[in-house]
Amino acid sequence: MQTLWTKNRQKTALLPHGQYYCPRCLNFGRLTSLDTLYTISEPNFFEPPKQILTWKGQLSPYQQKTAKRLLQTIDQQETFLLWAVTGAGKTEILFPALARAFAQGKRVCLASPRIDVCNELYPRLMSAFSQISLVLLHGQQQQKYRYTQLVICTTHQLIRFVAAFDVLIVDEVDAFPFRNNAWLSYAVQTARKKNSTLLLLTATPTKQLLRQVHKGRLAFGYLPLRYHGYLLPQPQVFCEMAWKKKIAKGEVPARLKRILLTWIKQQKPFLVFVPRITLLAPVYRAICRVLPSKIQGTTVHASDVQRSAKVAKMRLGEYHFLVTTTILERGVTFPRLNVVVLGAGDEIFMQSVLVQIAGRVGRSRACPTGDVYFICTMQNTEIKAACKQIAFVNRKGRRMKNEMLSALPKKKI
Amino acid sequence: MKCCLLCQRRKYEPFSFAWLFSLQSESDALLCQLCQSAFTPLKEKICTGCGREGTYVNYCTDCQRWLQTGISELLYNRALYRYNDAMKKYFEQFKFAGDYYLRILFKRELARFLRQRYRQGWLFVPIPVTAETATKRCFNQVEGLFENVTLHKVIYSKIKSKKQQSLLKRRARLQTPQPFAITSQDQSRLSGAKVVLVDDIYTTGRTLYHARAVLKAAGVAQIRAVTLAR
Repeated sequence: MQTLWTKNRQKTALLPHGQYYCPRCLNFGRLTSLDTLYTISEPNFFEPPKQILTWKGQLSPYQQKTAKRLLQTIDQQETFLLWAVTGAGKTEILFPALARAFAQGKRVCLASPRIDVCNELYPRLMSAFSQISLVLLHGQQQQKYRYTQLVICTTHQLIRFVAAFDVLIVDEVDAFPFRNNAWLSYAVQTARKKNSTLLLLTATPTKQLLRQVHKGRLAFGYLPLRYHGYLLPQPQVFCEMAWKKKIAKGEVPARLKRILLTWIKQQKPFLVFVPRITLLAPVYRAICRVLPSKIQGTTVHASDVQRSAKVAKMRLGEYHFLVTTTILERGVTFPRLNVVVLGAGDEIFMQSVLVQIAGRVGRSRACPTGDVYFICTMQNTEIKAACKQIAFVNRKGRRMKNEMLSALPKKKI
Repeated sequence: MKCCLLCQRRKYEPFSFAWLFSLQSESDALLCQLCQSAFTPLKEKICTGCGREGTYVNYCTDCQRWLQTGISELLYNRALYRYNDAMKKYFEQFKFAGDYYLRILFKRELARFLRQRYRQGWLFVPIPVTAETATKRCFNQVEGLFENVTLHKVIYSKIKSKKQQSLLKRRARLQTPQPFAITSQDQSRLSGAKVVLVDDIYTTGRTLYHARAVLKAAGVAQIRAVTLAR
């Protein structure tokens, strides 16, 4: 039994007959203070199949090191934070750990705050563990709930579970809406069993999480290298005082123009991030004016109906560039991409957002490097923190690479 | 409140030096500009009979049809907003999902409008909900929206349950039988009174004209109507 409505919102959630309803979980069907919720205890009878992991890929030596550490967390049933840079191959690293959990007959949940991420994970896990029963749950799909060993769902759906999972993995813990959301953290805590593994994955940990690590409350692991063994591209910051005025006049700031023209010369596709939807059209128009006319591009934002179609066209190379809001901040991969953030000083470009944007670049093995530029009126703490974090991760990565390389010849002897 | 009540995103309000020296408090808007602009207010160029948007010589075709059915006088309904997609979504969340708190979006505006247009001597009568809806929904959405004015609940619904109006086609809606009755103790109070019927949405006018019929039978002299959406 749970009472879900929160005390401080009682006044706003009052019904005329004196009862309260829960404004948070309204979308699951309204619950009032007269309703009672029951849970069914977990049977957890899962017969491990003969072949659990049907994935044929290979982990790189860097990934293997982390994967080994994760096996330990499954056995020890602890809470663990994995800081893996964007494009480190987080999902693949999970496979050995998941296989171990399934072999032990544990029930596993993979949750993410983003629906796109869930949709992407579902087919990958289905092929990697073809013998394991799994279900995908989120607000925009039709699959009915059934009792399965593996559940892939959005973090909101976790509120439906009580003490259900032996292993609970939360991907992208720093993403909206999970970030700083007490209700969703509560959902995570209630959905896991008393003795269970909680695995938090992120590319950009929040200050609160790192503070917990420093206090020793949270076990912690790095993976500072990407799957192809390269470092993250270090962003370059340029101050352009009057970029907004220039855009309003229909001009492109001189520096941005120079950057774009070199990219065009190299024939590399690029993304231009802007802070507001209202800026999309003027920026697009200004850019089109300076580029050669054969270069195709368009604008994308969250409530754009053709969003996925446009992204798909960009991937095929039909579009050369996209002007976008933060919606393409995570979860998209375009080969050979370069990125520029216009107005990086705006308050929606938080540290984590900027790091994620920088992580769009150099994700393919064929082209592991690229350019990231931040253009702003003046540097603020978020920009500095983002650059600092990338530099920090790269320093760690370099050290890891050196360690691995120096370890190799010794083995030969 | 920092976040927009409908989209839950942070509101960005333009900040200016003029505001800094104006000694005014921060605006208490509940919605972000984007959500607010999705609602279209109905001001001028409306049918005087029902409040529908557009320019009409006399009345719109709907109102003329009502006149043909032998009604002596139209309701002269006024609606504050057009019933568009944003309004539809709002009612889905408010009425059908049951987020009773959302009534505060429009209640102040509705109360101000009623007080301006119908100053003295008018009784405000809400359209009731059926007993079934009342137990399921736990509130009457009309009473919630018009919370800031004194309402006289003289009409009650005599049928126990009804089909959701928005699921019916126009003709079926127009053929629904009289669902309302007047509470017996209020009969005397109503004769010769002036009444404003209040409701959430005016679509075909069927509900409001049913209410009008029972009020006329009770001897009410003048009947008008005000709704949130048309």
